Amino acid sequence: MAAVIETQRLTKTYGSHRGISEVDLTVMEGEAFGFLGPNGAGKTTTIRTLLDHLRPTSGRAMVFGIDTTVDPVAIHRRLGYLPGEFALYDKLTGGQTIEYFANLRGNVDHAYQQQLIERLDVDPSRKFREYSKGNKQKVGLVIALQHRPELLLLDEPTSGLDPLVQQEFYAVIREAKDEGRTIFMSSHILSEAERTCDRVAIIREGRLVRTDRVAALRDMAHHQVELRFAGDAPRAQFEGLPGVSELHDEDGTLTMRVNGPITPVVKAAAQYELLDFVSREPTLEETFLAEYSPTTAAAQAEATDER
Amino acid sequence: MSADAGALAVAVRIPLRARILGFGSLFGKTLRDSRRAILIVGGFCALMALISAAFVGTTWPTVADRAEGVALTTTLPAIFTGLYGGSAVNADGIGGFTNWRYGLIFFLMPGIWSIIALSGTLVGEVRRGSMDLVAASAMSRGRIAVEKVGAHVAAMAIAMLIVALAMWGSSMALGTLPADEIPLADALSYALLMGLSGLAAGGVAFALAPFVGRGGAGGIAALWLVGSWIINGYRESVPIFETLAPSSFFNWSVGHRPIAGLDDPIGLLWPALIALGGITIGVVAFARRDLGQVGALRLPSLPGWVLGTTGPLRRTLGERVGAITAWGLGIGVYALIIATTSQDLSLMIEENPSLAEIFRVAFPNVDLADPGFALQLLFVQFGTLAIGFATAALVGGWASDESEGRLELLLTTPVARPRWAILTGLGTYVAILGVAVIVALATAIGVTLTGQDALTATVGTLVLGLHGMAAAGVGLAVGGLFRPSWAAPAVVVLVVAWLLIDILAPLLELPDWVGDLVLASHYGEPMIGAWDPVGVVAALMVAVVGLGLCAIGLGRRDLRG
Repeated sequence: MAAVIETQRLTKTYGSHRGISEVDLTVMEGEAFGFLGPNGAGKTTTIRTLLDHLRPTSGRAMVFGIDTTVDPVAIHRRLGYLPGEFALYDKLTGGQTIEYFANLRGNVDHAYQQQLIERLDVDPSRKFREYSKGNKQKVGLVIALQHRPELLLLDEPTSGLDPLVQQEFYAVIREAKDEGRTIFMSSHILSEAERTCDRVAIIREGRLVRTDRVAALRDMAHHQVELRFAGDAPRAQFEGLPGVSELHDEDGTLTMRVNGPITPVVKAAAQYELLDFVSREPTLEETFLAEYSPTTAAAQAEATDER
Repeated sequence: MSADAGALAVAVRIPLRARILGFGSLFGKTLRDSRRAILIVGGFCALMALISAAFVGTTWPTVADRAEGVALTTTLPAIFTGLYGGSAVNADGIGGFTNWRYGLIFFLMPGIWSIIALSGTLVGEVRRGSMDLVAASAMSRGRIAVEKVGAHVAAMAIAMLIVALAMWGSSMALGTLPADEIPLADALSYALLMGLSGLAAGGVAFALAPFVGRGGAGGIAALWLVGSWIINGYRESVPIFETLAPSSFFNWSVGHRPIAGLDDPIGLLWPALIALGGITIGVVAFARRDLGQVGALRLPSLPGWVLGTTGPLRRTLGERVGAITAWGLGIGVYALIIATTSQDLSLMIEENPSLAEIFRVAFPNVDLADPGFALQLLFVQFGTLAIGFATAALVGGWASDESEGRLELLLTTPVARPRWAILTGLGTYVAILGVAVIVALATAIGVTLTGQDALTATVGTLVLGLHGMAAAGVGLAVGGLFRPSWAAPAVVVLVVAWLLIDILAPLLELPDWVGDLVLASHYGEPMIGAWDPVGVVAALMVAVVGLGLCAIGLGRRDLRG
């Protein structure tokens, strides 16, 4: 399988403002790739650089093996894009807008275009300025999908969509993936990436901090364990166990955070008479926020400095 | 609970710095947003007052010279004096001459500003969605409306104060005769009339905007403003306008022109009442109706083939159909009036042998009875200025594809950026030519009505298209090379610079090369068929090179999203 997107030390700065810094990404053909990060992390800058809307300050970006700055038109011919925010012609109807983009691209399958319009419940007779944000987003989705592109670049695609249309959108994406097309989707909603993507990359403050399979992200997850003992809590038995931290002892109850496998804690607890055993696994969303929130980042940086 | 809230309200004080910078209140923020308009309207009108004073003081410095100038104003054909708002009054002084020569600018410019500002100050914010946030703050809707209108009134007052000081100061500094002096009180009173007239037009737009939308309200108010000016100005020469004169609000205040020695303060009352009435209706409508409930004039939708969805060039053209038609008709009506009344000018010249001699020297081998001569003399300067502003509007539309974010999606289609720039730039050029063609048709109709051959003058009118393309070339180059938001302002700056050079270069006896910078001075006399190939080639070159630079620039820089 070939790499559809490949960036090497891709950097973009806006004068003194940070954009992205030394981003290395590889997205393989047929893959659904989630690009996650909080607002302002650099997701849109990365996507706009892939489209050649922005020129890299240093490093390079290749799409379909073509340098984005050398032949962007050849790349555009094979991709569909939905920006996070966009404007189109207020005077045109939704149908005329979709038609205009079809004309700019050429070779659009009008039956498939019509099918998309119906599935996404777009009213093509209304003027673009009369659409709600969600309906504009739906028109944008039809424009991005109507020519059956090999690569879909979607910047926060479900923003503004109601839950029913979101479901339809996920179905369309699944179909695209089943047909072997590549999907690169930015989001700050982890659950969205979790249900749609094979792999995700996490970007924070312009730098890529992690790239992994969605399943592997779950390793970041931890368990919040609460043990209520019949007698005094045997705190010392748990202090040295692998992955255990934040141990607290109060009125015969031990609370702790367990990173990684929970088995050693279960085995240790089994040696005592327990009144209750509670283990809660935070959602991936909570884990992500805990791991990559600015406060955590600051704490990590401080710890690094101290070392 | 209420005591706590009261204590909190007292405790929260807005810092002085925030107040000064315009972030302390809605009034302050709106006034802050108006600072550019204050400078443009106040500065331009003040500049015109200064130019007028300099012109009168240097061209007619003595009593005898002044009498000659006054004679010229009284012998001009009705078409000319009508545009200036009627016959000149006390034109032997700077104040009288300034009121006559620049009244058109002094009364229409503040009016247009006020219409644009007041038709959109509430409705525009409702459309953008920002009004939902503002209205959710601890302010009643009535207060929001009053603060926003109040800020515009304050902005108008500042601009008019600048004009009054310029009138007073320039008359004191540049006047050469006792009649030239404009007392400060008269200058202030005249500026007050200008401001109130502007606010009256804006008040009409403000009252209508909640019911017919921003565009409809602005259009109706502008029609009333310009219509009032034309009816009042041409009432002496067009019988039907004499009948309609009572409907012109300029007619209601015609007795009050303090800088020209006409003093009738009751003339201030009518525009003040219209402004107050319009503003009151707008405030009450905004306070009582649902937030976001904005009506609109229902115009028939244009068919798809007119709007153009087949490619960038057709789309650029289709998007500007309304603007092309409006500008074409606006400029065309003036061309039509000049063309149909061209015989008046010929008669006036024939009746004044010394004037006829001057024109025969200036235009040798030209038949002064030719309608093309009248158009060359009375229309071309206005036409090139007007097409310049039309070009700025059309180039602004071109730039909005990028500045409003449409290119973000459009340029992900397989169209290369340089190709996009060239196709949409050509679309803009065709749009400008479209304006010129409408003007040419109006000219053809006007000349045909006089029973003369229309071909030469009609073809000559196309010089406007050439001029507009050259100005657009500069705007496209700036927009492509640097940023789209600079494109239309670049055209405006160029057009205003050309106008100022055209006025000031002979006045200040600047070197010839300065005057040569005005492109329009190189076209020859196209209305009478005497084209200068140098100017034509230069204009085409600017258009072609500008388009090329635009394509290169857009191809090289980051897209602005």
